[in-house]
Amino acid sequence: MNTLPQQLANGLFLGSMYGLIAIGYTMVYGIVQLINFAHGEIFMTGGFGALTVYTSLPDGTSIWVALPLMVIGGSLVAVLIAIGAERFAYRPLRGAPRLAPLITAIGLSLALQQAVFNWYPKADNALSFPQLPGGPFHVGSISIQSGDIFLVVVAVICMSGLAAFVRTSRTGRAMQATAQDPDTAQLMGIDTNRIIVIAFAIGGLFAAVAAVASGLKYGQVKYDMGFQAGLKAFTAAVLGGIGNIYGAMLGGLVLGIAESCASAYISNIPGMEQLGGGSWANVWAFVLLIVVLLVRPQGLLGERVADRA
Amino acid sequence: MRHRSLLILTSVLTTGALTLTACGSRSDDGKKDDGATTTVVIGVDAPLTGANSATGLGIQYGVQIAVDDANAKKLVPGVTFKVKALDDKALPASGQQNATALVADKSVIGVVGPLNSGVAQSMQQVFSTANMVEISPSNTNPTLTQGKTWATGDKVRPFKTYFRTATTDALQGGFAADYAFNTLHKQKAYIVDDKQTYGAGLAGIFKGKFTALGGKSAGEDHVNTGDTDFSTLVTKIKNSGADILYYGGQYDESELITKQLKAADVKIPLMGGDGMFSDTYIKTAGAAAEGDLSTSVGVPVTTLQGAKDFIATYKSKGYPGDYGTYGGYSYDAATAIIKGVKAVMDANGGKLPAMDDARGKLVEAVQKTDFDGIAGHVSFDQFGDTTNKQLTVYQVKSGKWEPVKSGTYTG
Amino acid sequence: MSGIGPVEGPAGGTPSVNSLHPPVHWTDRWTDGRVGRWAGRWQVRRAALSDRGRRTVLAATAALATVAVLCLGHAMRTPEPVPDPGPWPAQVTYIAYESGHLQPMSAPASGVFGFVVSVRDGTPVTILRVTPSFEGLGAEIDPSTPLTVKQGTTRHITIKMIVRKCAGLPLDVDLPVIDVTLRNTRAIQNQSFIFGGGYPRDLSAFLHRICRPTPTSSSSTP
Repeated sequence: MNTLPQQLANGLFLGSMYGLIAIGYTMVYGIVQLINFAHGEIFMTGGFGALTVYTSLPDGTSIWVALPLMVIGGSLVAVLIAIGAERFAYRPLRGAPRLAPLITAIGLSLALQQAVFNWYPKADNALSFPQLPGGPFHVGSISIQSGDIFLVVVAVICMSGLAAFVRTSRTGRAMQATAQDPDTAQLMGIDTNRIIVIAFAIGGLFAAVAAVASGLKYGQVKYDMGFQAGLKAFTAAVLGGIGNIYGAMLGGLVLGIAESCASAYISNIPGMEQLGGGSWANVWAFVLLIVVLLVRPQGLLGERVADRA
Repeated sequence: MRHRSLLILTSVLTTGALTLTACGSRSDDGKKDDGATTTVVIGVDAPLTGANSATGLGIQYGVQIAVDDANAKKLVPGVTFKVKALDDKALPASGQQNATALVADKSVIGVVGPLNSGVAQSMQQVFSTANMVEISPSNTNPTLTQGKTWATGDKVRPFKTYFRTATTDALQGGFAADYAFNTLHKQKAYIVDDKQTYGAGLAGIFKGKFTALGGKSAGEDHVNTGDTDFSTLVTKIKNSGADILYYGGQYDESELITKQLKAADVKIPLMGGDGMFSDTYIKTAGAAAEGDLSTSVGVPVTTLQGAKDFIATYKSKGYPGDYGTYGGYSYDAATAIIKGVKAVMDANGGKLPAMDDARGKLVEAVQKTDFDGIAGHVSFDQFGDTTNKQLTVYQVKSGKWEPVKSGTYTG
Repeated sequence: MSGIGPVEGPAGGTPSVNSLHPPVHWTDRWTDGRVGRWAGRWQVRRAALSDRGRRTVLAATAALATVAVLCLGHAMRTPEPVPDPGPWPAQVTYIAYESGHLQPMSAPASGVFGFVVSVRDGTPVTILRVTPSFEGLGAEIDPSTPLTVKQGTTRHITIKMIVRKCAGLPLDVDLPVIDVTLRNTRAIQNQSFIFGGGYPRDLSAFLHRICRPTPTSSSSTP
């Protein structure tokens, strides 16, 4: 039985999650040239926010009723933390050397992780997250879980919503303008502070949605789930071209499929049996990143920008 | 202006935060206090937070109960025992740090722990140099007491200060293979491990014994600790036609693997070692855990004569963690140290010698340990292994671990 | 060229033209009116009760308190001591390998292995059944089951292993298992005894001799 369709599907689902988180990285970088290392933790707090909503609902609430509430709850938490981070951690450092906000981001990421670990009840182990009912669905030889369907559906909705928003709405076009040239945008009367806040908020919203999808898929949330997911998503954003939102999603998909196929098939290549398997998936993913950047430094969909004066 | 005051504020806060973290988790030092009793501290090193913490806390409180019992019964007249528990987070680097801290603390006479075989490898040398006894209730990798060439039959004890009350994976892997092949009649096993010392060792031993019995390996793979997505692995297992999955590693990963395996309609049992034998496994995996198997060192705690009181005390005090896996063994390990202290004092005219001297004498006393503990008879052979080698195979039935087969090993 | 985009001015002090309004002081919102509205809720309720209502409440509270104290007293009573039933049989029984493997003339496909069974303490242990864990291998124990061993004593027994079917039998096993059913006054237990050392060696030699007499001949049922 050929496992390729199933492995591709596995990679697709994994990659959609990376893509959703990568949007946050790429939007923030596109507008303020900051790599928000705390974004992985914003993803994690979104998951915990959703879990809190679920546990405070009365027992026996159907998951279909609870799910939208969880998404809203998680998004609220993630967006608040993202906007708070922008206002109190990053905005005061505009004008500081580039290193300062980078270190702040790393510090914020650690602080958020430890805050959840210490203060959320029983967070030192993984916490159970509700799952959608319904067995695996079979499309040909591929079996798809209910959590995967949710993931793909929200990923498509979010991506198309964002694309439409950026292209057609006033704020969206203001964001494009700010990303292109902030000084001129300000001269044109665009409130750049507001645009930046919106960028962080959208990133937080998508991260929260990805966290709910992750909780549904794996059945648990953990205080350190943001670290690895954030790292992979950042890689996906760079792979696809940082600053480009379509690149973020594409990078995510490419990364997910590469990981999946690498761990499935590399061990079948004669002479490379030791280099395959699940433990080498990360290695191959990063090798792919390096190769792509060597050939095309701006990423798959990025554009070469001259240094901004 | 604002930048500079911000900079000063940030640096002050950062320095303050760093200083606080450097203080670390330091519980009070057991100073030799005035009055009739001297205080002797038994150190505990185990993962108390994060991965494996459910079973790690079982070790900590197993020792705590042993110490409380000894103090209440005045097992060693003139000595009050205290417990100093340090968290190693299942990381070898943290374990080594904790070992150094415990050795430097002059009121600590011996240590119970660690939980993970990989962490023990980084701690043995530190304790050996300080001549401090270390008894692990759960390390199962054979190299820790029998040297790197144990498999060929050439056994050499690497450290005289290291002992363990649990038996080794050489036995655990063999017993699991026997059960899987002869009792369950499984022919093709897919073998996965987490590349850590314990998991890789156990999986390798299982594979060797399973194929020696006549079974076949349907495939092998490795995972990283901390991974959550195993969909690729599950697809590979599905296509290999295996009828059992053997996992060498801890419950943190295996609970997710079994969930994803069953969700993908691969209805084969997952079998693992004592690292998986924990109630947290069933709680997280839920219905997917039904029918899964695990071997664990020792016999079911409920069939142990002396364990009744232990379980009752554990539950009544409401201690966190799972006591079922290593609780009995850690109780016995602590008791071995306590009785060793008594032997040292008796040989010294009823007084405890100076700590450096006492530690060395305790090592010798522990080597000669011979008593009936709550998990069975406690004594150590020339390698520091326990002479009471018992194992049990458990299966998840109706959401609980039920023992299905117990074995005693005679060498 | 700054790191975060040239949005704010050089000294970072002047807010831009279209910035957000100055932050609202949230503390005012919380304190005005809320505290006063909630205060005295219970006093109001209590004053609204009539005399009779008040007495009913008092009586109900007293009854509840009495019931609670009684339940607490019942739960805290020390339980009567239960007599100690003794140890489980597997904890006190030891089986060690002694010697083997003589081949009696009457049954060519079998071998006799000697074991010594000892029971440490507790009550006498009875061996009810002995089976080797491989299919294709049968066992007869002499003296025959049920076989009782008194506490504090040892007994020498022999187990005759009979090869019923060579196919599928692993010839080189380093941890052979024998399943034994034990019983004492405490419980009946199935315990597996795993052997290292001499027994696997002798068993292996025996199986090789029965199932694979010469390297070239095919193995078949004897």
